[in-house]
This record gives sequence, structure tokens and C-alpha cells, in this order.
Amino acid sequence: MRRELAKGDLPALILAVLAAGPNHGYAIAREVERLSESVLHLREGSLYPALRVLEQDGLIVGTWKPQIKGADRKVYALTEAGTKEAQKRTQELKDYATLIHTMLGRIGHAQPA
Amino acid sequence: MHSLLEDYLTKVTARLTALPLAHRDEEVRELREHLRNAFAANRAQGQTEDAAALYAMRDFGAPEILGVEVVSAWRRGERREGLRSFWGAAVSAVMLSFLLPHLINPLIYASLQHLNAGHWPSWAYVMVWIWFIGVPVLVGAMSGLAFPKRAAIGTALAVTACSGYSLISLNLFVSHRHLVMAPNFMVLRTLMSGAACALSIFAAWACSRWRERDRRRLRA
Repeated sequence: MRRELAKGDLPALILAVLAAGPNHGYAIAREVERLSESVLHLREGSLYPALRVLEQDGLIVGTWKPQIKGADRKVYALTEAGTKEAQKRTQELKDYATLIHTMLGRIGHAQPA
Repeated sequence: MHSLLEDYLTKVTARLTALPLAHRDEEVRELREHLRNAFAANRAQGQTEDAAALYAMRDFGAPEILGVEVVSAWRRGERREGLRSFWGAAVSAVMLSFLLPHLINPLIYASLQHLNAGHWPSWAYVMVWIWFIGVPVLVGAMSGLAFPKRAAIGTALAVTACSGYSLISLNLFVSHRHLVMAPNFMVLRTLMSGAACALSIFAAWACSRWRERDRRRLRA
């Protein structure tokens, strides 16, 4: 089952992917797909506006790196503030997922009279 | 690069005209690299060139939407900068408005204290006009030049503070020295404050427009 990735979750996922190490836009998109086992579909164009916002917030920094083969590539890395924010947002998403799981469990047990 | 992908990038670029040229080029360069990688990956999976290009574009989304989203992201950054500029303008303008009266009021006081208000020399009236009108206009112009975003709002705050402070200090000066008030001085004072506010906001607006025109010329 493929699902469209919610727009609000994208910045947190980008930060989580970059927490593992610097990467460029295409690789970030592939990593999100790999981590979701191809369930979550990311509209890849929406990646770049999200990266721009994260840059403006000072959470990531992008640097053009020359490649041995092919054109230069813009690689993004977390800043110090970005590392803290990545941890915070990852925890928030986990808490949210736990809450939804709990709520759905309660709905399942609360049978109507 | 495949012609379909070049067409796609042309459509995206057409939506990025609001960005400065350097930023526009950087965005397109990054998108081109991503599309190139996506195309190569699709070809490696055995797709034809046309199919690989079409799938790469499909996964990217409509070029019009992408263009709007990229510009929106950049504008968000500009709005934040504008907000910082507004507070910078407001704080600087209010500080100047209180600092200048504190520096210059004692000089005016010292030069006029021995005079009856009905018998001020002409230079005193000129000085009062320059003080009450010129300082707010100067504050407005500086605010517009230094902080072109929303400079008029910061200036309006400064002018209100400046005018209020100057009026209060003049009242205190007059009441303490028991000077005879010039005829229609209240009306004149109100007109001067109104003129100071209006001219200051105009100066801020004109200077900020002049700065914006310079920035647009750099974008072209």
C-alpha cells in the first residue's frame, strides 16, 4: 500500500535522514523511500522548498561539492541547531505515532452498547 | 539531457522570475541534477529514454506547482528578514527620537530661556521648525534607507515618540519658565506635529522605494 507523505512530516524526515550524515537532495529522496520500504511516496519536487525553509531556519547548510564524474552536487548537512531540532522532531513524531496507536486501540475496545 | 526534462525545467524556470538571478540559477542547477539522477536510475531499470524522462517528471510533480512552492519558500525567508528589519527600524528610530531631544533640547533651552516667547528672534522660530520637522524627516529617511522593509511603520512609531516627547518637553519648558505663549501656539504646535509625522512617513516610504528599486535592478 503506497501513501502520499504528509507535507508537514517532510522537514522532520529530512532532518532525520541528515542526522545519519550529509547528503544531497536526490539521495535524501531515495533514503526516505528506502526507510519506508517504498510505502511512502514523496513528491520529489516538494523536497527542495522544504530544504530551503530548513536552510533559512539555520537547521541545515548546503554546500556545492565538485564531483569526480558529473556535475557539482549540493550536499546538505545538519548544523548544531539542526542536530538538536532533529532529535526533538524525531521524538515528537514518535510520541505522535504512539498516541495514534493508543487512540486506535481504545476505539477498538470501546464497543457501542 | 533529455528534451522532455529540459522543457520541464524551462517551465519551472518561468515560474521563478520573482527570485534574484543568482538564486534562480542555483535552484535550477539543483533541480537539473536531481532530474538527471532520476533519469539515469530509471534507465538503469531498463526503461526507454522517453519513459525514464516521463517517470522522473511524474515523481517530481507539476512544474507550475514546484515553481510556486520554491518562490513561496524564498519569500518566507524575505518576510522573516522584513520582520527583523521592521523591529530594527522601530527600535533605531525610537532610540534616535529620544536621544536627539536629550542632546539638543538643552541647547534650545539655554538659548531661549532669557527671551519672552512673544519676542523670539526669527532664527529661534527657524530653529524650532527645523527641530520639530527636520528631525522626524531625518529619522524617517534613515529608517527607509537602512531598513527598506516596513520602514514607514517603524518611522511612524518614532515620529509619534519624537513628537510626543518634544511637545511634552516644550510644555515643561514653557510652564517652568512662565513664558508668555505666542498667539495660536497650540494650533501651530498641532499642525507642526501633523506635518512632522506626514513628512517623516513620506521620507521613509520614498527612501525605501529607492532602495527596493536598486535591489530589483540587481535581480534583473
